[in-house]
Amino acid sequence: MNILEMHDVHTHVMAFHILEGVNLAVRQGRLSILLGRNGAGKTTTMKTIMGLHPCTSGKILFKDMPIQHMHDFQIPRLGISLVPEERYVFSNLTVDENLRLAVRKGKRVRQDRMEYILDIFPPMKRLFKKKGKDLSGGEKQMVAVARALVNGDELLIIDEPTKGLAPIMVESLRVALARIKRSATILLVEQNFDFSTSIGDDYFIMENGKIVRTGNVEELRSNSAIQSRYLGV
Amino acid sequence: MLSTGLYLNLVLNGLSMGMLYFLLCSGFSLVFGFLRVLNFAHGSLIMWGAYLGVFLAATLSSFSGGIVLTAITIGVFAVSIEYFLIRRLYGNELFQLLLTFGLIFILDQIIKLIWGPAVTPIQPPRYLQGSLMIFGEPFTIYRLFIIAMGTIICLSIYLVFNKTKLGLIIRAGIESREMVRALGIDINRIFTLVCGIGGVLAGIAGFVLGYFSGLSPEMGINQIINILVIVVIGGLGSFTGTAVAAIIVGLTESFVGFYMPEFAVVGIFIVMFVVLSIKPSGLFGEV
Amino acid sequence: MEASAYMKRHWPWIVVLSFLISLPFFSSEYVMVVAMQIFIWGVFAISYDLLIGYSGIVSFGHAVFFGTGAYTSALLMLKADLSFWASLPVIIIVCGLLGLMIGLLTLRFSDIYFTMITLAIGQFFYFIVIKTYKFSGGDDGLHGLPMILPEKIHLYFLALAFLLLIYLFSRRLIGSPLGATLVAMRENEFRAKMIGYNILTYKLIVLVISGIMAGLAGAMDAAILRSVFPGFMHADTTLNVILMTIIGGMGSLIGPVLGAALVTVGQQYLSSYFESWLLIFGVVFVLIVLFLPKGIVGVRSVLALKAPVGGDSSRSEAKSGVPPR
Repeated sequence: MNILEMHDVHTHVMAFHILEGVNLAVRQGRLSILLGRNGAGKTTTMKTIMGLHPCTSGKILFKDMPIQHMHDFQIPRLGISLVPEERYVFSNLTVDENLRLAVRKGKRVRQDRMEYILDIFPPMKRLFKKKGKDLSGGEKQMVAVARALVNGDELLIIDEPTKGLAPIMVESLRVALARIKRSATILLVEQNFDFSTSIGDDYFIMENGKIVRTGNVEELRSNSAIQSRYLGV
Repeated sequence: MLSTGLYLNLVLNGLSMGMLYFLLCSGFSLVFGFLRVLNFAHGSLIMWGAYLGVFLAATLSSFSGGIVLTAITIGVFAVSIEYFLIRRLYGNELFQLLLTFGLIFILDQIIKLIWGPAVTPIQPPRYLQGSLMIFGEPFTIYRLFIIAMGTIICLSIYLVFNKTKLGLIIRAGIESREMVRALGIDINRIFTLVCGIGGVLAGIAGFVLGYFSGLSPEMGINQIINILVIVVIGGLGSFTGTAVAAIIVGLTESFVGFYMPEFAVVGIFIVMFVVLSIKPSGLFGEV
Repeated sequence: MEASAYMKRHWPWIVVLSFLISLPFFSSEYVMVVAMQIFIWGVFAISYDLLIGYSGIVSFGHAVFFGTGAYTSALLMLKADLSFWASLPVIIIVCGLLGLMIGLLTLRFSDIYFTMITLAIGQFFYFIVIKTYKFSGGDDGLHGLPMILPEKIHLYFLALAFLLLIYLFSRRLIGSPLGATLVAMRENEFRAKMIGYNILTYKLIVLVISGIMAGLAGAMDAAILRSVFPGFMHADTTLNVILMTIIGGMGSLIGPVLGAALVTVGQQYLSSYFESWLLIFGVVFVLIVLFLPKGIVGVRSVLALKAPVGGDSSRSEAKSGVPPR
């Protein structure tokens, strides 16, 4: 079933018409990748889903429920977590506090969730007392993703996680996401073609505020024509 | 040159002044750090805390009852200001500033209308009057009370900030409201709450101040200037900075007041210029 | 432009000007004095509008220039026996230097910080003035300044000419490339910086100009009142000019003059009827900030706009205030 659907979504940012009728359907349990050149509207799409930008028209359905007019802070409560491009790991809070802040029900992270997170990201064990500002880029990315796992959300929206990461971190992130996708649906925006296609199941290519092509990642990997036409790869 | 007793007395004196300044600044610094709203009317809220407080304490014949009721009243008042007025100007920092500035006129004038322009000294309750001999010098009990009050408030704020979820949200919100919202937290309600806490702190500060220096319709403007200078010294956006700066200013005023009484008033500015020339963004500032 | 076409286009100005020129001949001396106050505070408010309305500089210590101009003028006239006219260049230099100094110290700071520091600096100067009795007359101020012109009516026309001069100069300034740069800075400082403008230099220039204007206004006020008071330097003076500028309408140059007129008249006349005319002005001020950001002069444009501008401000955006990316 489709965990997330967007029907003809238009978004205006100030005077600019950024999303010009986005149609997509994210299938539950799959890892969907959103590809496209810079400026195509990928981040705006993420932010529209999360309610950070109001959409001017169209529908967004999460588990068949319309969410396009909900306040931005209500959407995460439905079970959607965002890992933003800028990460926004709070500098003056410890890693432990960063995780606790994300907990929606209860005071601390549930034991089983914590074990799951540490299983996916073993290095986190050392980091709990470290403040956000003392983390390296790779550690920040790890914490940002871990934070999204705290509540067991069904849909994770991840925006350009490999940006600025060293290759070895990119690889461990790839492994982590491959494992996470077994228990959550992921919508991934990523410029790194190899990274995203190695773990992706479905793809959407975005151009000028519209989805111009969609399909199976297997198909995309072997089709260099599509790759060069849409992605300049 | 100075006897130990006198020296320690001056230090204690400075501490009490510093604590008073801390009380006066705390609400302002909290609201500014979290909401990024420079509430120029904070001084006027303090003044209302003083006038209302004295009135309530007299009506209830209870000093402690007065302080509690005043704190709550000013807190509610601050919440209403945020909800009905400031919220309408969300996103426009300049106009929020101008709005709070305009509120000064209104709040101050209403006090003048109700209570008149005279300066009224107020006596604290019997059990807080008089003085104790400390280090061989007399020290007014009310100043000890101020130190106690300041310490209690400081500890409470510290505990809430660092040990509660609300404090966590506030500390995170100071850095990025957007991310806090992206975590599913309705930060607008927290804004209102913080404004309320700011008001409560103003109410308490005003109450304590009223019994200390009397009531005067100039209180509002005088205090907001002091507050601004101290917050600048401490560094914008840093609550710890404000606290430290308050103590430093208090101590400075105490010693300057002893050696050069005419310059006591300017003491606060001297500290500001000294600190800013060494560290332009204030003690703990990160501008 | 032909004379008749010119008159047709600018007739409101001509009417107002004629009225002002003929005022001393049909009204009492008291009215004339009030009018002079309006002219002077009008200049002060224009100088403030250049900062807040056009350059986005929010200073809460502007009284420092007004006071410095006044005190400098008074001291030169009393202690150095200079004539008012001879003291003018000195005032310009002193206020210019003061603006330079304050600007260099404070303009590097971000907006709110700047606002707070200017308030502190302003009050600092105030305290210096009241503490140095020998120099500045302390709490009492300085009195007994000589009449700079033989008759009050001459002073009136001097003040009026002063206002017109400053107003026209300011208009020219805003219309110049410098003015355009300032507005660009106000609208989007970041972008202006990226294009290559040295923000600090421009802000410094406008601060110096504004400071000089305010100083001249202060000197004028001293000359007319024949006294200087420490209140000239006090935060209250700054608060007053802010009140005038905002109520009148910031960013319009004429609005502040209007605001000056309203507040001054209010001060003089309403205070005999209402004990707290200032309260009323405070309420008006708050209402304007909330609903009429362009001030009184903006009323016309607000009435013209029936529907709110912009189509898609949903609750979420308005509430979250997130800058779109």
